[in-house]
Amino acid sequence: MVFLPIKKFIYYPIRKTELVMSRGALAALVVLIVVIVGLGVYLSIGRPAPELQSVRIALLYDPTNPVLNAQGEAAKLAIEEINAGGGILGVKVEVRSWNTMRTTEGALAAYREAVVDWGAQYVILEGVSEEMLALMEEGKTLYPQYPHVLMYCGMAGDVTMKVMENYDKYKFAFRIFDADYDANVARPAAIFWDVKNSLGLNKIAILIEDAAWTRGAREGLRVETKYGTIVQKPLREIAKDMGLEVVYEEKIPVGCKEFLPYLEAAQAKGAEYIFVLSSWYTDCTTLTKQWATSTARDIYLALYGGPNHWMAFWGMTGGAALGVLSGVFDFENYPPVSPYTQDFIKKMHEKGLRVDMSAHYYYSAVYHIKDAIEYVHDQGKDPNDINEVIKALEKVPCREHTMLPAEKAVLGLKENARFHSYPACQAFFFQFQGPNNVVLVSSPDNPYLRMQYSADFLRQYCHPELLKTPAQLRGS
Amino acid sequence: MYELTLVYAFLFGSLYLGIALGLSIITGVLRIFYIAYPILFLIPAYGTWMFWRDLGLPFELSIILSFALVFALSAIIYRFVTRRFLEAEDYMLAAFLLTFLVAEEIINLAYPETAGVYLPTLLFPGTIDVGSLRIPGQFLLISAVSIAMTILYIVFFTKTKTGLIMRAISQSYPASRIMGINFDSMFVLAMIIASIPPGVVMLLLSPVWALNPHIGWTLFAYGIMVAVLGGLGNLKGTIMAAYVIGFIYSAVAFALGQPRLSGLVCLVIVVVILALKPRGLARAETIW
Repeated sequence: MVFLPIKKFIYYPIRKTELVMSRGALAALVVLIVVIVGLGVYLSIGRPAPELQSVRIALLYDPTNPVLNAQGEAAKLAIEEINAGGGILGVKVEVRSWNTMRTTEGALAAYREAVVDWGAQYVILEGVSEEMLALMEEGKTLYPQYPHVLMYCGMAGDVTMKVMENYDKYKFAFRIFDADYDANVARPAAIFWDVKNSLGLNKIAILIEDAAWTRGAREGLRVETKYGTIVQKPLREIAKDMGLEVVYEEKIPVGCKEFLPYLEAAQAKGAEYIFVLSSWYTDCTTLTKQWATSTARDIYLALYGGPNHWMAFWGMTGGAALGVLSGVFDFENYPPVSPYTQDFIKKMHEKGLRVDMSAHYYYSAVYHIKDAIEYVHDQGKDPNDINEVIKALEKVPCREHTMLPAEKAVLGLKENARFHSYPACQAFFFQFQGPNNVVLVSSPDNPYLRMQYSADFLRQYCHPELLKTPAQLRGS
Repeated sequence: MYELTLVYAFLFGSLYLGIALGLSIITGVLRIFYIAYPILFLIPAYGTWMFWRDLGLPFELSIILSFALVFALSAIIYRFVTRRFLEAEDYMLAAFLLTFLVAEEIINLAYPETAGVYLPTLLFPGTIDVGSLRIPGQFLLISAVSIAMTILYIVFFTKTKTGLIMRAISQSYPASRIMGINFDSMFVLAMIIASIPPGVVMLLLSPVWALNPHIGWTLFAYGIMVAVLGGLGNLKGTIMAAYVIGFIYSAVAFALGQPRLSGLVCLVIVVVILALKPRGLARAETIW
């Protein structure tokens, strides 16, 4: 529309291929060029970055369950803090919660309502992997019309693999937890290193929760991706590589209440250390209570995930946890792996909430969203553009992560299937030695911990010399 | 390993017997499927905790008061649910289920898992040596108590007048009505005496099992398996079924060395037995 009259005005008369231009036309052309160039410069450089319109975060979880409730509340705590500090780019974060009742149907209904009806740009799901996978399938159809980011803290490698294999469809999905390889290999390897080198033991029994997330630990994995082949050894091989003899290995069914046969077998085979690759699906409370009254009670019992992450585990077991080894994330004097770690735990306790490892990740995820939005804005791009935020999430570290040092809190690593997942958090191992008393017994020389923490830091907080056998603790 | 198999068959069997005993009595006397049964595990445990820790009463008194609470609740449930819907079983089952769910939710609200509820009822920490075997002491205690309670109930049903009346009711409603039996008082009494075993088992089991607001349903599942296999409402059948299941579980776990398969094998064998004997092992419709 603009060019037609101009063309008519400038180009006259047309003879063959020669163009003849009047002075007036030339002046008008110069003015026009100046205006166009100026406008372009204004649009691309001079104009301030678009303002953030809104940030809506939907939390999908089951508030009736104390574990899941704490994780949802952890995310809310981060939002409260951000809003108290002025919001994100001056915009207050809006938050709404949906009760998924921890069912796939409930999660799907909540997800649609949050994204379509409420206009959530960020959805944080607390749920099992099956829920997340279902939401991703729904999300790929919703995303073109309702761009958003979907996050969850879980163990299914399929979530990451989907993103890696079909980025354009699933780029909105993030797993705000360790990649499978790291969770199933790197962390147990650190534990096994301590068993062999710090405790000086040789014979280990391995009990593995019989669930989808432990498949790699039980059978090993070999997955071809466009970024290369991912090979994961089963736990027994990792233990053997560490110089340990696996005298007993068995799968524990989800919902199991009778642990005595496993404990008797481990004791009969001469195990010196029982490692349980557990999550919340293993009844670690019953397992611990039965261990404490069984023939295996003099053998070290090490638990992976579950209520043993809480200091309340002591009370839940009525003190049967005496001597149990576990990651404990609910401890206000937890080594300050980041400046935010202890403060977060304290604030959760002030709210009467317990903190497991996932609670740390849900809290940190909100800050990662904030960091990404601010990064987009700082680049002069539109912080309302979810595509840009997704790219930023892949690029910027989470500065406020409570479990990972900032340089490790990244979601964009493409090797070892870590894409859209965090790298391993090398958690410390504690021993329950009394009510409200856990002792950090990981070795400061552990090479796996050294990959994440400085030698000085480890020497300051790790005290393997304080480790006692269960029998010593009972006798004291 | 075979000695271990037999020992654990006894321990597991006795435990299952203790869990299912009350359900068998209620089913046998009242001829109803008592879906509110899980309450009988929860109230004594959480009631004891409430009286003991929240109200500061002595532990032993708290146990007594928690059982008083269970008895009162059983009477109330009978008065407002069982009696009202005795002729409308579907409504009664729904009402039982709702009663249980409400109680469970209240407990979950007051004492979520994170509250760290525990009861100092570990009377035998560690193991007890029996010959060359070392047996978890608390499990042995639970077994002894379960057997003792079963014997007491058998004596009650075979030797006391009230027990004989209850057996008469369980054999024939119309005949017992003609004999002038006071049904209401007998039914209430049956519900009260049936509420004792699950409470006692729960108190003794809590040091070796997780105690959380949802544990009632898990224990109920064990109770159903035993009661159904035994022949609903028959004590002889319940005793047989408890030890059959205990033996299968133990044999698969210890003799075959496959604890992962124990639960599945138990369920499959129970299904096979029920296919061959649809009315359970006892094939009787009376309580004894």
